[in-house]
Amino acid sequence: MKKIILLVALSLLFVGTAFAQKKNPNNRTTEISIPGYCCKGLNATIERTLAYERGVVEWTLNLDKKSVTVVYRDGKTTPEKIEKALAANGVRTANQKPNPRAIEKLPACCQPAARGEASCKTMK
Amino acid sequence: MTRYRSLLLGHKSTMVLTLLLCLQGYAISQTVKGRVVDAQTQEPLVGVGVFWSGTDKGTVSATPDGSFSLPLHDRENHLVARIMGYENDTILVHGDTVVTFSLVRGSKRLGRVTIRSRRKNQFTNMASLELTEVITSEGLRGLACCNLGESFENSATVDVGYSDAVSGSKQIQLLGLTGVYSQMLLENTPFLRGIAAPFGLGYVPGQWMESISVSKGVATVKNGYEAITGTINLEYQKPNKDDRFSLNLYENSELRSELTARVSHRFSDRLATGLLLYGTYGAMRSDHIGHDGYMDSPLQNQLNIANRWHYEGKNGLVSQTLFNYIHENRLGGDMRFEREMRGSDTIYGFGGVTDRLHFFSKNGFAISNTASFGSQISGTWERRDAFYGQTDYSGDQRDLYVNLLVNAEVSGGHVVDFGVSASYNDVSEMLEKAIVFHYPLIISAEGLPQFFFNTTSFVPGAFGQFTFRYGDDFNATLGLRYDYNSFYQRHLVTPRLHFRWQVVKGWVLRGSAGRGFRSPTVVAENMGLLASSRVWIFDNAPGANAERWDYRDYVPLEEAWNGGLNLAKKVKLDDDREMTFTVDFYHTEFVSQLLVDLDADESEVRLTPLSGRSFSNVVQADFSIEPLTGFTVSLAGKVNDVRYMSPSLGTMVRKPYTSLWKALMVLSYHTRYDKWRFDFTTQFNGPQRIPVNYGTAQGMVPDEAPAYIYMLGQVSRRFKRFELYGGVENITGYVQPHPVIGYDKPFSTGFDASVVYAPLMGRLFYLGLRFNVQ
Repeated sequence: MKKIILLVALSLLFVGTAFAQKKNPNNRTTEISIPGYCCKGLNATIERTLAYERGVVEWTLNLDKKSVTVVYRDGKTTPEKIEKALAANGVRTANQKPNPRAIEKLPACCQPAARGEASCKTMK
Repeated sequence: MTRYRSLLLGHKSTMVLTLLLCLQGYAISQTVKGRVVDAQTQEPLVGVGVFWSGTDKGTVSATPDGSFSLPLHDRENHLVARIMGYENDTILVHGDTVVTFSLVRGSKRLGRVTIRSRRKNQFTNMASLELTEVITSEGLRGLACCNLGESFENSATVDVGYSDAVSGSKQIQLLGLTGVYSQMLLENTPFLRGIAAPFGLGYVPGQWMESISVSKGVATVKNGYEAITGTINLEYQKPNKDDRFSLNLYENSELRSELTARVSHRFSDRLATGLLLYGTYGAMRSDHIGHDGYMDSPLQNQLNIANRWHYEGKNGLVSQTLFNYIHENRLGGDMRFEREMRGSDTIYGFGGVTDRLHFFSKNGFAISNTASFGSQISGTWERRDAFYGQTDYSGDQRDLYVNLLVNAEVSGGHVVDFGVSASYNDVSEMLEKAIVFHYPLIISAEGLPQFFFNTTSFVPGAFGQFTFRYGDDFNATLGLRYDYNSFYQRHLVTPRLHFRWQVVKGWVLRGSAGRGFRSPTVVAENMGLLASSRVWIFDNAPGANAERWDYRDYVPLEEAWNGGLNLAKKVKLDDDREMTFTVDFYHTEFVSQLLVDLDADESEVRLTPLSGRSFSNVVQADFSIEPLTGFTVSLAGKVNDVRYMSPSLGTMVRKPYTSLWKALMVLSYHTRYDKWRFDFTTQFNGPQRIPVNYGTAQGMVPDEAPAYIYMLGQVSRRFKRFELYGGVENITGYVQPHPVIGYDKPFSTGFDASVVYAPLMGRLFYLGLRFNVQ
């Protein structure tokens, strides 16, 4: 049990360092448009992708605006790189086509929009 | 098998046609057509699930105009439309019609449904007929698991132990009985049979597997008359779903290196191929255990390569084919032993070379929207050449298995399955070792005698089973199969019954009962005993023909009945977390069995047909809870009561090397997005009976193996493209103090390396890397 508490404490430390990066003067904000972002089913994929992206500081999901607002560290990444990362995980963005294999791993309801077969207008 | 809407008959067998005539009315498919729109905006909705209430028959509105078409159901006329963000809608359908669903947006529902971003390690299937414990590839990532033998460390159901102290081979136990009484399947086709028994678990690389499903008790009659204590079905990664490229590198503190790679390529939406590769290499000899001059584990090199194909045809045809080749080389025994010293009478060595080719091909298609047809064919060619000191063994196996299966839903939602199968097994084993057949006495005067066992059997069979369904709460399957075994010249009738009953909401009671048979591969299944100076003695059954020698009198066809009950409960704690509880009891009773009796004398292995009782009773309870998001605690405990009438002692004795009880605690913690992952397992293994052996008198081996604790832990860190993992096996470092009895005089009586009751590998550190391209 002691071990687990230690492990939990250790992981909290990492979360802590992530928050500490917020105030960096190199931080930039970009809003990435995700036309196929029609339902909450896509949240997990978007968040997971951004969580593993170098230079991404934090993000806000805007389901109603079909976009995600990303705070990133200038010099470490660019909005284009972030869009490419999303597309690699099956998320269609304004400028990047998604990886067809990754689309199959998305929740079923998100797949037609990610493929471009349907727009959110028809989904909703 | 997935069912598809099609009326493909063409050139296919007349049997299918006959079936169709029997199930008249089901081939004529009436359909309901319709659209799904938003009630407010009247815009079409795409991706809406449309299905018959209470069934799994359904479709999705996939076209941009929100339309769908679905065959009529014979029993259900309530059609439901469901999509996230909207309230469900139900329409009562009468005949061939066109319907329109107008869905009302419901914000409540949107809030309730969340998609888990994390996949589970292990889960219990609540909806299936049999209680199935599924170990997922995500679960396998938390273990060092280089191969199948190392994949059960987080399961209380399957026990894994070494068979001897020189070959490094592992054996599994299910319900306290040797793994050979359970059936190993690769994607539901026969796998690792006959001479593959001793080293087979090492032939399945952990990274090739998508999942392992373990179910206890007799299986349904579809897969033959075996599977007495349970079924272990392995699913390999499928090229149509797999990542483009995956790589796993592993290195441990004993300098064993492993490499696993998977490559998949899709030619089109229909055709995909995958290449699976695995190699292991170890050249370091170490002797930390016992300091007896014997290697702790053998040097082991393996090359394992598989190619598989997946094809989906236009008419619902699905075809899967896999070819696998394995070459394995093991060398163990004395630290000074080299392969060229084979046959030496001064330095003890073990060696084994195996070549194995295996293939399967599965093809299925839909006959109508309620019936499907499937066929499987699989075959193996395997050759093994091994030696334990001066004992030589060689084994050859060729087998082929073919079956044809039909699955059809009949009126009232009940299901009928029937089919035919045929298998051909040619197994030869050659052994140079002191062996005695009690009648007539065969022992050669000069040197070691040679014995040749050959069993060639042809087993044609047919089966039928009926699944009765009463809503979603009760279903029962009654199956019967008939087979003829040409080697034993016996007609075998195998009845099996299964049921699943949701007693009250959330509580599921399941039961199974049935008979099973098995033909032993006598040397391969007891190969660990070759690592001793024990003489093999075959005792024939009482009442056997004393005038004429017949192998079948010495090695009978084994027969047993198995029955069990289990109760499972699943509680959803919130959107993400759940709690499961299961308790089960299984009883196995042998009618005929080949007993391996080690208690007559420390210098003998007596293989004697059972006379008297032999049974196993096992009670197990599993509890799993996620107290905090990302943190899972699993607890399990079981009690084994496995006893048989000992031919040498004349009383009921406990089966040796089966622990009286086992308890397990698995702690698993994932940080958000699985960046960090911590897995920690503790096994509590109860005492085991040790059979009569030379070591007890010398004080090297206790009378009863003490209970011990085995712990392992792993930490992994995931990055964007790769994952690093490291861990420790056998953290407490508890090992058997003297694995090799009589190590100083291996070629005289008193030598025995087959007494294994504790881990044979001390604390082991490892590091690994996984890399994949989607």
